[in-house]
Amino acid sequence: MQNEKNNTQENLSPLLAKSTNTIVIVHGAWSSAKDWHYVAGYLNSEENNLITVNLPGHGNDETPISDISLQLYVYEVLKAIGDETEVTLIGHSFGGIVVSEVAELIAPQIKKLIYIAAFVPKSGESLLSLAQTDTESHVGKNLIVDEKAGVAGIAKEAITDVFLADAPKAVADYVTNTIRPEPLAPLATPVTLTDANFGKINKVYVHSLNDHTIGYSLQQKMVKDAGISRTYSLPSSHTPFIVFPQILSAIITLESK
Amino acid sequence: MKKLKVIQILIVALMFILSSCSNDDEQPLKSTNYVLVHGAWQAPYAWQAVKTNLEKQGNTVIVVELPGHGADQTAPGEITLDTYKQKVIDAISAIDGKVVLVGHSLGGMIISSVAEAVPEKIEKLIYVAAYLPTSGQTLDQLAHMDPDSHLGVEGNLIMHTDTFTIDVKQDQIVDLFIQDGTPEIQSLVVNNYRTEPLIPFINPVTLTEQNFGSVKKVYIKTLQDHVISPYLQNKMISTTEVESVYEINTGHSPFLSQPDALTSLLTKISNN
Repeated sequence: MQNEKNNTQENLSPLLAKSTNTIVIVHGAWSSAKDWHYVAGYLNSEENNLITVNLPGHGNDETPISDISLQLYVYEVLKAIGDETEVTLIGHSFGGIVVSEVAELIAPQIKKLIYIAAFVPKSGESLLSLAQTDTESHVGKNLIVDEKAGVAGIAKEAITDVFLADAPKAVADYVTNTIRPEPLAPLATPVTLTDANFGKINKVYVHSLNDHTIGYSLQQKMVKDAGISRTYSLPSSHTPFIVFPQILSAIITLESK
Repeated sequence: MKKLKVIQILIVALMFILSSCSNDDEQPLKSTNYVLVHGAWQAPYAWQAVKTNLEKQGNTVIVVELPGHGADQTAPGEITLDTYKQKVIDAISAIDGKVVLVGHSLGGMIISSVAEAVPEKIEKLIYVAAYLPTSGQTLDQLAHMDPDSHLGVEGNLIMHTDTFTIDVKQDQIVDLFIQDGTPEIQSLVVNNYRTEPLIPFINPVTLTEQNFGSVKKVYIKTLQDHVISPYLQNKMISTTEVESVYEINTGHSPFLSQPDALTSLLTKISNN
């Protein structure tokens, strides 16, 4: 069963009490839970309690930018997880920052963290502090920051190149035309992580080799720094859930067991 | 007197020879420990002829059966590149002293990560028509860099993500692996074909200068190879420091099409 959970939906976890395998997916910046629908299609099964979290200010959610913080995102994910235990928690891109903080707070409930083309922060780091070290990323030169509105965008003509250069043109065009500006504050907020909680959780990383958002070198560095030994690499842009949904689902299935 | 002394020496020498002959467990002095690692869609049967040849010369030979291959029934979904690595490390650990570690095809990914883990146990790495990765690369990634490989022909690879396996098209097995073998050898390859665990193809290797970089490497190129083309073989050899390069004029499976020539090459390389 799949549930797209966001701050407007009621918590459905009592209905799913019998499910054993809880998989929670947290999307990245300039994205929403909807972008995971191909993968959700493969992961939907009797055995899985699949939750794709939609973060406030993303997709159809209309939370005002001024109300949005990293804490709010973390709260949203905590709410979606509820009392579930043995959770496989998955973060894509900026979602890696969010799931790291969530895992720190409810470490005993988390079976495994899976980072998919995601940021893996150390304590005190933010998305911005990590992204600034990335010499291979195409984001920097295409980033348009509107400080007054508190959001950041990507130059329209660069969206395909930055996020999904290998996707079918129709999909790339759709993303280009529907992308929403990203709330800035959470991107600059550092996380607080400890060895006793976050440090003890099993972690897996799925690399995207042709990634123009988070360069492969930075991905490798973060994996090394976090001591992650189980890794996969897909010959993919930043959005393997669009271009390799089947194999990505297979990896998630395998790792969530 | 002098004559007597010579005879004494001869007798002592003869006793020594006799005593070493009578002890079957004792290895000949110049014996090499070989550990042979097969590739994807194959199994230990592929190395049998070379193993026999090397053993006749007095060497110790272990052919590793990778999990999910040959008679091993490990579920493909449980197999990663690390699983293979561990199996080879276990085999090497059972041997006293250093080994010459030989990898074919996918085996190249495995022997590279083994060398990274236990460089002190490896005398030499020999890549036979094998993937020779740099740190961070996967087999899948290397295969995609090979425009001449017949694996890249549309429809030749069939992926089953529900069972975590990958197949080559049945009618392409001979062309890919053993186009230069006798009909008997070709049947052997077709009959021993098994579907291949998928996940290890997308597990990257992590290699460092201090460990992997410190181990001597030799590459044996296969000039008519349809799986890893000479183009990619050359490219990999030019990217990673290799002590020497040899050639054999065969397809992807020289141990099946020309086992004697390959044995001679392995012996030559080990004694260098």
